[in-house]
Amino acid sequence: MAKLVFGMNQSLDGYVDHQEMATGPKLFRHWIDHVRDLAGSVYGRRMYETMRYWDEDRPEWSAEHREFASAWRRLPKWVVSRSLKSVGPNATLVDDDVEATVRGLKTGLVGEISVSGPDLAGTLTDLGLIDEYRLYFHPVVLGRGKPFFAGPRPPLRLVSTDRVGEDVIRLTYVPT
Amino acid sequence: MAKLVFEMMISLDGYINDARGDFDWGHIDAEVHGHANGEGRRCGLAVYGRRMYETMAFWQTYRGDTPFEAEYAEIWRQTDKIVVSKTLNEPKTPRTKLVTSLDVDAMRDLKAQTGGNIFVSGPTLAADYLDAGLVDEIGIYYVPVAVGDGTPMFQTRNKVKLARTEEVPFTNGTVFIRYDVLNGSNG
Repeated sequence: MAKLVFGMNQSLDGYVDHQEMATGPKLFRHWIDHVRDLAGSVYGRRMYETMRYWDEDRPEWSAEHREFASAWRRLPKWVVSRSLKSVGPNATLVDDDVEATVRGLKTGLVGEISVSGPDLAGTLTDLGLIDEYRLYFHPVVLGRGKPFFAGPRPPLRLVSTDRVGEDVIRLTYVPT
Repeated sequence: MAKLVFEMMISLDGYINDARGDFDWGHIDAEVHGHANGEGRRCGLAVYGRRMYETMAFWQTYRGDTPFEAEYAEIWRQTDKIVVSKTLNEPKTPRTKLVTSLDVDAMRDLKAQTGGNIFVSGPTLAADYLDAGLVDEIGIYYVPVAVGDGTPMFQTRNKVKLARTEEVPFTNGTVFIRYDVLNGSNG
């Protein structure tokens, strides 16, 4: 039985606009280890199209970038989209019953599955499928942007507060 | 030179109240109240917008249901206050000065003329000072809930960069995090 987790970098006011936040080497190492340890990952269309950047080698990459790309390519991916006609390597298109698919993944896989981004996570939250929320708070306030939480959520229980990377504090919550 | 501090309790998605204006999801038990009282003691001067002032003014006469509430009420009563409002005719509480405006230049002067800590409440007033680089410290109490909509704590026009100085997790799931503002002015 796998655990479904939803975790993203965000500002202190809860916005996930990644280009506004820095990822230093320590934090990047954290994400490499995270991706390497995942049993699978479920993506909405937008996040998947953003992450497809890692499917092709680029000459300007550092050794760490190559490490992340390697881990990401090995990660089994499920992409939830009615508009995409095809997906890239090591990815399965899910264009019908999201709930059944995700329940099947939780039953069939062992370890952790991650879901990205906020829209798909909102759908899975409403279906009661997310087991853990990880808020990676960067030391920045944006005032606007795409919210981590797509809508209201019943009260959560704090599991841990951890310093991660150079200057991030990660708050982890589970549904009560 | 005074330090300008902006502290509030918010949902995980950044709201001080929900779409109905309610705050019944707030998580203030004795432990959190003890911490808030410590913050209250640090405050030498409280600057309020009208809405926050009208929300807080009940502490003048409220005796409190618990020792922590009684202590907070006493701290609040002893704190000097400035209320910024164009519509109030007179203050509702002692130790309170009413002004029709406290713009960025006036706050800069106030910081220069005062010592200790000035706490600004609420978000509308604080946004102007944040955008002008006048806020020195931010404190956030995160309540373990997402409310979806409401009044945001941060209503800045510009991005604000910070440096974390401490974090305090409470047993009821609330987490307090303190930050220095990096583009703040303190001299």
